[in-house]
Amino acid sequence: MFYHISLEHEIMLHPRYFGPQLMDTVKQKLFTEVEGTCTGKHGFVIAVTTIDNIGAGLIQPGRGFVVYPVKYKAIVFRPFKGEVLDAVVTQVNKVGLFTEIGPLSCFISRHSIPADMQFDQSSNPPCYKTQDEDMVIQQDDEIRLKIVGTRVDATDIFAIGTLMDDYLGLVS
Amino acid sequence: MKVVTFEGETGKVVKLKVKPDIQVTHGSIILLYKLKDDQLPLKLRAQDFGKVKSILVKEGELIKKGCPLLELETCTHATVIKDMCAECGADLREEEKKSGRASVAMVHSIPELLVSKEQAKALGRADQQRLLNSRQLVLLVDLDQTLVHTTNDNIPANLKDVYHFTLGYPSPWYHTRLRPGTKRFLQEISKLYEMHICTFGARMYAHKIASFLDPQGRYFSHRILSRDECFDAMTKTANLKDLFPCGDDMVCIIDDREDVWKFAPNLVHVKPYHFFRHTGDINAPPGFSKQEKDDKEGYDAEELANEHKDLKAPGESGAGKREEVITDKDDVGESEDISQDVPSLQGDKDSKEGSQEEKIEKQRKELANMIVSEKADVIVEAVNGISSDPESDEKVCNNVSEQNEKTMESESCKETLEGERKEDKVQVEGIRSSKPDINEEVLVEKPKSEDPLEVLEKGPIEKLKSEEPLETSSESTIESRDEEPLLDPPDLDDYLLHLEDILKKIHGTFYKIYDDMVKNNSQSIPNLKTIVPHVRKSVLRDVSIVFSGVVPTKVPLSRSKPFAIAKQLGAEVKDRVIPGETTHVVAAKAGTVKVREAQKLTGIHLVTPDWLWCSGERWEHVDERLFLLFPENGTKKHKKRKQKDKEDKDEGEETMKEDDQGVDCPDFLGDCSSEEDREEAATPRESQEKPGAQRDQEFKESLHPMMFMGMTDVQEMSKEVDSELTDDEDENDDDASRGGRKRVLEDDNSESSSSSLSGDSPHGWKKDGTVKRRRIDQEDEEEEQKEEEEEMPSTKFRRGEGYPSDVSCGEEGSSSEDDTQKWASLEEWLTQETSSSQS
Repeated sequence: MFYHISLEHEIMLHPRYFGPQLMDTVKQKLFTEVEGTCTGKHGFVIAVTTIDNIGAGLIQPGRGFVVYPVKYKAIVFRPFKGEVLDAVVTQVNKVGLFTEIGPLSCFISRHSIPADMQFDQSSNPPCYKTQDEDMVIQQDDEIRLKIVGTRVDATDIFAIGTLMDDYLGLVS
Repeated sequence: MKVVTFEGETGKVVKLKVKPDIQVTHGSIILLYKLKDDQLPLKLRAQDFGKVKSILVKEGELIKKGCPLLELETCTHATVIKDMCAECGADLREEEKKSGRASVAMVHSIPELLVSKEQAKALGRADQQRLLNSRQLVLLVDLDQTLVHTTNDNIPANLKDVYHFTLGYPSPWYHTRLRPGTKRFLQEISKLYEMHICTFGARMYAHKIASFLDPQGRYFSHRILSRDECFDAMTKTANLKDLFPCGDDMVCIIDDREDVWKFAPNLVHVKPYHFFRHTGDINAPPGFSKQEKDDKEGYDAEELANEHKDLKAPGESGAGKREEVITDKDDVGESEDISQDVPSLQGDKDSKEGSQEEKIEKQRKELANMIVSEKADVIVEAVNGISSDPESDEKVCNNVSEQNEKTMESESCKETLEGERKEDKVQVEGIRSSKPDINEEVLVEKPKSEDPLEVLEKGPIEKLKSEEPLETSSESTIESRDEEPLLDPPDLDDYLLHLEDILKKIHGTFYKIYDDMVKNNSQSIPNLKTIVPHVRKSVLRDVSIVFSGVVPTKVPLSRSKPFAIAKQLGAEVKDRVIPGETTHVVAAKAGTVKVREAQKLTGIHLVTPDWLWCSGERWEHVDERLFLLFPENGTKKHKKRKQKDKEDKDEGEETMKEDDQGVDCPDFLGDCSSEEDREEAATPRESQEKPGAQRDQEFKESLHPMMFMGMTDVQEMSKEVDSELTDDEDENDDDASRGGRKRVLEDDNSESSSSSLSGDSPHGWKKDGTVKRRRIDQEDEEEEQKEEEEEMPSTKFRRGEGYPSDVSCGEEGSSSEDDTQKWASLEEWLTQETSSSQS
């Protein structure tokens, strides 16, 4: 699920940036440091939308670096159990499917793939397909899946998905 | 098994939402029910994950509190990824249920993904069946030194078939050369085998190389096992059980190292591929890196770079900015004198001429070796029209090809070229750059590798191109890199062709046996662990070998490596020549008793050990005529080749093609040569039969640069001899109960004494010989020293040298003091010996 939320971040700057472009540098640094990261709490930071406030910079004693507390709003993506999402298949093997939902990788066990779809190693690339080859899931295909579990670490989220529900499977 | 009970108020089931064998997860609807008839139906949701086993209520039934509704089969957590059940999504870290339920990492590149043993078995069986149906086998392919050779050294940027890459940041540059014929090999073998990469390289590296070998993912797909996924840092066998849960009956392995597979019987030991000198296997397991051959073969980056510089020299003023690719080297001298010669005012046009010529010259050189066709002449003229008259050009070409044949020192070659240079500098540049690494031996008689053929095929196209205006042609011949011609040093490694044959043979044998088994309604399948040795055993099936001067006397025959190799190939090994039975005598040198015996009999092949190594490497009965101990009349080629071989080795190089010691021998070759030395020293018999110069050569040959007798060896030896002589002088020759060492000595005694008595040569020869030998040694030593000086300390360190020791400086000349002592003791012994035998 996507959220637009307020977040805070501290930007540390080298003294060489002190100058007329200082605030631009702070903003630029915020974008590079924050976008694309993942926190277990908020999920993946997709994009910074607004920078609400750049606080007073604090020069660190003994180092000369300055620290700016920055308040900003960003779009974050936080996957939840039970959520239905579209994913791209990245790897197909005999144990299941690996997919990517944007920055999130998600695994679908072969037991969570409808029983009428069987793994076919001999085709190139390998795929899961129905007997009549009506439905074929292979690498780079788009599928719709439901998340059944997430593993949330400090800096990464991993998800388990399933195709065993109505309206899930190949998006055509 | 778990029973779901109804927890609400009494109600009536309106509709069931589940069917047997369907999975329910937390929150999925089980049924709709009503408390009262006029009410909207309520949803009853599942609280847990499970598979519906049976439904205990029917639609329309009344349910009360505590009434059982469903039987759910709870998740067994058979598939686990990152400590999370991949089916129910349960966090197994919290549940503490990790206890070995799912333990098999079946997918090569994702070690976090585990499945239970039962599942793994089922999947493995399915795999096996699929392979049998498509009549394939599994082939585990090693990368480093099997299919590719990678170096971190700085090398010229424009070598052919070399990929340059970094892995992430920060990372050193890697330069990977594919073994000649790799693509073809993969294409052919992929029809018969499902190929998996099993390498000790890091994951990024392995995938990168795989993308070079197999850009479309046809051959390997995701079946890439790298160091990151290896369970054991030292062996690759640990992963086999997981990758092939149903056993590795259908698994064949190709690797250049046996140790990492614990000498598995289904391993085909590949001759290591060595292209870049000074670089071994960059991904060797820790502490295992083998370095014996690091400096012996392959291309020196510096030499190549020099070559490259030479080639660039004419254009330096025009397009000199390519310099950054090349390393800063201290030995630019060679190229400097050239760039001085070349007028620095030469413009862009000349550089193009140079590169153009370089290309053509290379072609012509190849052609000159085979046929000088009209085509070539046309090309020659096309080029010569620009710069010089065809005649001198032709001369130079001949020079070059001659040099290839003779493998002359680069020094002398330079001299020849010096003369030509005056005539046409630019042209000389072209040739210099085009001529292959001179230290690299180009065999005259070798099965054609692809390279010359390729060039020949390119001929007509090339011709067309050269007739076009220069501008376009020089650009079109160059791939991608800005106007840099591709260096294509001759790489004579054709091992993959042999490997392909071996693998085809194995595949054929497997399915032949399998078909027979199917006919007999046998359920089992053949095991490659027995088939591979079986195939290997059939190579020299009807051969009975006697070794002479190959196995050190202190090592029992049955424990020696040559013995093991011969046995693996199915040959019989006897310790003496048996008339009518022995077919081959593998002798390190001529003139031993066994060789003499064999010479008296007809129908026995007298071959050098190279014959055995070569057979063992290719798994085929190699024609003995290539490795005759006594080359046939008139054709001294082999002999010459062997000499060259030796010289090359002394120089720290080795031919790629005839690298017969390559696979299995370096470790014991040292030993056996020490034996040779010993024998040589004890009874230099064959020298008696040969003129001096040849004898010296012979002697040089028999010396192995890796091994030389230390002082202790010599002392031990003379002691042994002394005791021998004092103990029992008139002992029977055929006292078989005595150890091999002694017997040989006695043979030697009788042999040498008889021959010296027979008066083949004057008695005084020995001193002469030794003096000469000593001189040779000194010369060699000087050469050696020169070479040593040229070497970078780092390369020495890599070889594990770095400090002078008896063994390491034994490469041809140990300390002179050592030498004199040794020779003194030998002479002493020899005089004793002769006097005793005469008395």
